[in-house]
Amino acid sequence: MTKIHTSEVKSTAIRLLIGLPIVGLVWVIIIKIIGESNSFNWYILLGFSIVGISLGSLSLLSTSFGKLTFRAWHRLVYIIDQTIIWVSLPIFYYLFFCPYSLLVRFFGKSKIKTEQKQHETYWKKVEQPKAMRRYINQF
Amino acid sequence: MILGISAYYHDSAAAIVGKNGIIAAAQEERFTRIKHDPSFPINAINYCLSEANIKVKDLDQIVFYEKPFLKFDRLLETYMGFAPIGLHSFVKAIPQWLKQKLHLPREIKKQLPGKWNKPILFTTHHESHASSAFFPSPFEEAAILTMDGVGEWDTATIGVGKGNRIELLKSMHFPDSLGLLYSAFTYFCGFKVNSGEYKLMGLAPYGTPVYKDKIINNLMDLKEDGSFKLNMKYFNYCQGLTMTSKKFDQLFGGPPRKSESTITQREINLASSIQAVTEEIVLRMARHAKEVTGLSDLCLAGGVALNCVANGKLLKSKIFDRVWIQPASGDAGGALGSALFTYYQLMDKKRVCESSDSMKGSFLGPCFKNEAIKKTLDDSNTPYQFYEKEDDLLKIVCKQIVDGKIIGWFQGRMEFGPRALGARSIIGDARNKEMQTKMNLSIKFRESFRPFAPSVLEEEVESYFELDTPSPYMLLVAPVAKKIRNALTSAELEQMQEPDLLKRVRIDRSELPAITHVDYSARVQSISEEKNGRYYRLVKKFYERNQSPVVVNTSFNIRGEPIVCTPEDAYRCFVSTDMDILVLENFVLFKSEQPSSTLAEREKYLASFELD
Repeated sequence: MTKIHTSEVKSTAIRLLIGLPIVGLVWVIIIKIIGESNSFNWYILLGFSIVGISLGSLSLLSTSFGKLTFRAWHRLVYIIDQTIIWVSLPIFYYLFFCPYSLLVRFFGKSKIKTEQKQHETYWKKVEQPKAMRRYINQF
Repeated sequence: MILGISAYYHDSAAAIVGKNGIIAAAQEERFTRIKHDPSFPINAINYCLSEANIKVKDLDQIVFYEKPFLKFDRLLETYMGFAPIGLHSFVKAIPQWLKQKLHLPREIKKQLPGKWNKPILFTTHHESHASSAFFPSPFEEAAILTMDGVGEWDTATIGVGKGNRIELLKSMHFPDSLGLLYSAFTYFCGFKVNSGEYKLMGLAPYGTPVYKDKIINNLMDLKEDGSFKLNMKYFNYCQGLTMTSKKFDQLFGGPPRKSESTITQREINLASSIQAVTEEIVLRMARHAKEVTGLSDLCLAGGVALNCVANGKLLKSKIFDRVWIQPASGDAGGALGSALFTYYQLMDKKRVCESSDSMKGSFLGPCFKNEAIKKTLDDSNTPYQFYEKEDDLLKIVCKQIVDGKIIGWFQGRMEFGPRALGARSIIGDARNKEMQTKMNLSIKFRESFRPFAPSVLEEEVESYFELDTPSPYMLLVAPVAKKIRNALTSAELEQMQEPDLLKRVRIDRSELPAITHVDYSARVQSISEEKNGRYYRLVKKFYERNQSPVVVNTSFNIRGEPIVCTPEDAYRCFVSTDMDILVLENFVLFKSEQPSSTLAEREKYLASFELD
């Protein structure tokens, strides 16, 4: 397991301490806008604030608890991250990328040639750099 | 001054270059203790800056060793070439690119140990390799050949270096790659890609190249000029998470060998065959480079240039009069190459060729003075003996080597590149029959078949090896001289057919059994007073006293561990293995005087490194 630095624990604790109440407030506003009720539901803010302030302050007070919170928080973020990736990227891949790729290949524009077409040589001439600007570019 | 960086693939590194030539270079793995660490080389950068005694704001340029957008273009084109196959690989690769690799200037600036407002420069991957090969070489003018897995699109290039400029003339493109072909066989034989290639090379001499024709006839269309096209039906590295396909399995009689399982004759013969194919391709490419450039000297770099058996054959072929190989030929060397390219070619600085080369023996990493070592040892109450006079130190170490002891040798600046060259080395008597097995199994904890390399006094190279040129960076394999070889008895010849490689290894093939491989070859490091200083004087003293100018030299680490960097790393490795003595500059630590480590402590240490 990688070593966790105290600075990372502190930074996560402060983010929880301040961030979660803000997230709660944002949700209060969102639910007011999209919901049917005319009044703000402050319990949401209260819930987020209690969790954020408790985890944040306890993490600041106790490093071992902070490390535990740090690990749990990052695990949660990782799971959310992976869920988004594994939902969104396959959709993008099959809906847009694959049809586009098939078209590119159909018109013979693919740079990856998999067919065994014989050539006299597979060495290619290198295009010489025309300007120094090339070295500032990432391409 | 120029800071070169290579990162985010494998073997991250940093290098700094200025008017005094190469000032410092180091791989990140040595500091983080994670083998082939791909992360941003912040520790290596900090070290380089401190060695140059400057801060980030004092730098003239910062340069990255490849062009990320071109690499991303290759990645997308590859997925497009194989879609709808390849989703798994796509989902694994793309997030990392979107989050990090497509924003490299931002990422680099964020992680640098100081503010940097100027643009960051980007050379191409093979420009970096070619520069690392030519600019430090002793040649005013030379042909350049680079070969590796893949950079952006290029997998091999032929170029010319002259004065302070290089020019790439020809290239081969992905997916047709000699490096990836070799890695595919590395994978198929059950070794890790990007680190197990060395094992495959070490395994090759045990076998016969029975699959050579099969490889050339089925897997590729190979041309006389060394260029080739791979038949991608046999490979899976473009679209999948493995290197080879089911068709490859069918061709070579079954699935890939499982890691750590028994090595069978099939893997041994495959290793031998792909080695033979690689040598054939390298020789053809070199001949073509000679035709294209008309020059008589050659510089080599790129991962394939670490194949010292092929290098040895190339040298012997006399296609070129002289061959110089960058000791950090892998991607770590890209950091150095990009910095040198920027300094000489982009900033148009004058280049002066040095008679040997300008790599400073590749001793470009951190060093630790006696005072610092004393403090470390005293703080931890470690028992030691201090020898103020070098002569006394060398005498005691020589005596221990003769007694069959194994020495951890830690002197001067750490090496840049994958080989230990006498600064962070484990050494022993090459004449000792038990040395290879003992070093492999009790010190390195690695596979028994792997050979060890010799360090030999430069002036004695020709007496012990069939090699007529210096090999300071251990990048040439040459046969041991006939006069020191032992003829095998009929019982030994029979023993050579044993499936157990350990039994084959144990046959004494020469007066130097610890460094003589089964085919009578050795990966030679020639050492000189000028480049190797105290290490040379140690071997010289050993020669004077014992008539042998050769010692075994292996890297100071265990399997899966990066070579040690600090005295603390060295001590940890020393107490966790069966090494007998540790020499830290002028301090000598005897194992018998150290508090004995428990089995649990040893196992914990061994388990802290992932097997490579």
